[in-house]
Amino acid sequence: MTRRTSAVAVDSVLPKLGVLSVAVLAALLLSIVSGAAGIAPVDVLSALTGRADATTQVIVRELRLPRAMLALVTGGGLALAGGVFQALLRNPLAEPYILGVSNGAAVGAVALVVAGFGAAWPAVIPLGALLGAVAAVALVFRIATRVGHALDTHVLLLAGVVVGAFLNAVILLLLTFADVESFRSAIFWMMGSLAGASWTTTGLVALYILPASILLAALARPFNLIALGEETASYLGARVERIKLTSYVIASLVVAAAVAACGVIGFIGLVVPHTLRLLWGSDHRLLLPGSFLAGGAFLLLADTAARTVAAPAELPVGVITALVGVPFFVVLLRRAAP
Amino acid sequence: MLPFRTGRVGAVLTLALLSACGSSEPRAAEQTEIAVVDDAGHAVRLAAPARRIVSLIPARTDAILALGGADRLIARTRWDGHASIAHLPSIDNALTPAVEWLIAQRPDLVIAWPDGQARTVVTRLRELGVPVYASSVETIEDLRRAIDHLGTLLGMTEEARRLLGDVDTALAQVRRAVADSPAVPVAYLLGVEPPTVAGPGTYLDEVLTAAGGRNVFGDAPAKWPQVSLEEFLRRAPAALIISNAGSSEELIARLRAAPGWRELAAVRAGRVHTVDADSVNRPGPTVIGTVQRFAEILHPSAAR
Repeated sequence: MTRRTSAVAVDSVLPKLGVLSVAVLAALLLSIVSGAAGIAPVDVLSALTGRADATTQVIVRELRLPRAMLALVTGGGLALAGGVFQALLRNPLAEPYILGVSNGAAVGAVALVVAGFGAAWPAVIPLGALLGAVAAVALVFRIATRVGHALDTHVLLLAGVVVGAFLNAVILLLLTFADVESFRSAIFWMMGSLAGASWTTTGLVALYILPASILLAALARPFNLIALGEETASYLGARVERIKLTSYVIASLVVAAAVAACGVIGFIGLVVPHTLRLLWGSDHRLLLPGSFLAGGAFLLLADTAARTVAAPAELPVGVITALVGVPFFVVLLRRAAP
Repeated sequence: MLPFRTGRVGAVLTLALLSACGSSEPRAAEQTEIAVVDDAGHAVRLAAPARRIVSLIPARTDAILALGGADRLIARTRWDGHASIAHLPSIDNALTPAVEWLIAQRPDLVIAWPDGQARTVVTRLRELGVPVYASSVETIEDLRRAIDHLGTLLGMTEEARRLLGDVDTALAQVRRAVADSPAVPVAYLLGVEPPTVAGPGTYLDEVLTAAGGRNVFGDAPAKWPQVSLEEFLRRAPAALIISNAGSSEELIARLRAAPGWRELAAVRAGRVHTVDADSVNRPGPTVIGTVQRFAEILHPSAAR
């Protein structure tokens, strides 16, 4: 019986993931041939094979490619983390930043910017962001887990919200005493951007997010059980507490890495998993890897738009993800409504 | 743990760069090479005077124009309206420039805020080998240093010396003219809604002082604080200078009708003066005109 259902599931999962993979490749192609420098697609191809002039080569291979890869990895990580949070918290409003990760990262980064590190040591800003994010997650879990008690989802959610609000106040306090440049820099940092992508940052982020994502996607079956209710899940043999704690922490760290590398990019973690749920149902064996692929493609397309719409200036990518993602999602919601 | 590695890589690169500047270069090369340390502490080295410059900072663009370097610029921002560079491609607001567009212009020097743009532009350009002069001007002394550095980078040291002379002369003349008049309590506002004022350590605070004013917000806790109307009433400036506010007459009429504002001595006496935001708020060669204008506002009789 079990074997048969999973065989059926695999039959329907793989073609859908195949479709999403094709979408990722198409987005990648589109992204690499578009940009403010207006390089002809032919020259982009010769740059890829190393036969273009030095400037074109730098633009395609050192700017566009690593940035596209960073978009795929962070978009994927954020969407997957969103799907995991929604499954664990059993709350459709859950999104990757719900446990205060983004505010923690912003406090870490803004504190360093305001302290004047931004100019001389720009590379320490992501470190501050990561530390801030991890500290916020630790604080939220400290509040939510009481010794001898199980991790209470409602308390966790509330703890995330209040810690986030508190950290937000800290950011505003810090910005009050910032000079104009630090202020602007901090605001840019919080808006989210992929402009800093280099092969080094992309590689480090991928090293971190990819294994974590595979780990989370591998927990799809227990997530399916938890979706039925934690009690039911434990009757059915899932080690609910362990799975919950592990996946919360891993997903939070994925988000922390994404925030540290790109700032706060909203809506992907909310819109992408819900869209897949509306289209293809809530089997996490499809939902989680599907969210990773679709989230990556979505952020890549959004960033391509951010790079080109107002060229040679760039728009904050979060503006695009919200402007395009939200109406699309609303249409889906209305169509899905009975 | 991951950006920590990025941080270490950055540190190692910077150290390598610094040590390269320090010792390993042969002396002869150093003499022909142009080198300055920018406001982010990075060494900017050019093999020859910069000829293809992108300036993302309008006030530095003004300085380059004042040096006579208009033909060295290959792009402009939305804020650079000067006729001599109006034909250049615009990078719009310059706060979030596309790095690939900058690279495609093949600049031999990019002038940028140390961290004012989308945080990573400067880092990315440096990594790709484009010389970046990061410039941050908060005081008149900063402005003098910036002009001096630009002169070096453009190979226009003589022009820079002359421009610095003009700035110093204008400041000294104004200071002399107002020396015998008592300082006028004044506030400089970037705008009225909300009232954002020039605080201590700003360029405009210094220019106000040079022009015979006493910045009533000279002891504020921030450089550009937003302050309450109550604080204005308490500090009682005798004059207000305001940018981004239309004509003086209209503004006075509006403030005289506004509760609170109309109690202010400066408003009652009609000593509210609007100034052009572009020329006054930019710390550049326009300081010459600005300090003269401030002196006329604060000491109408002495300045003439």
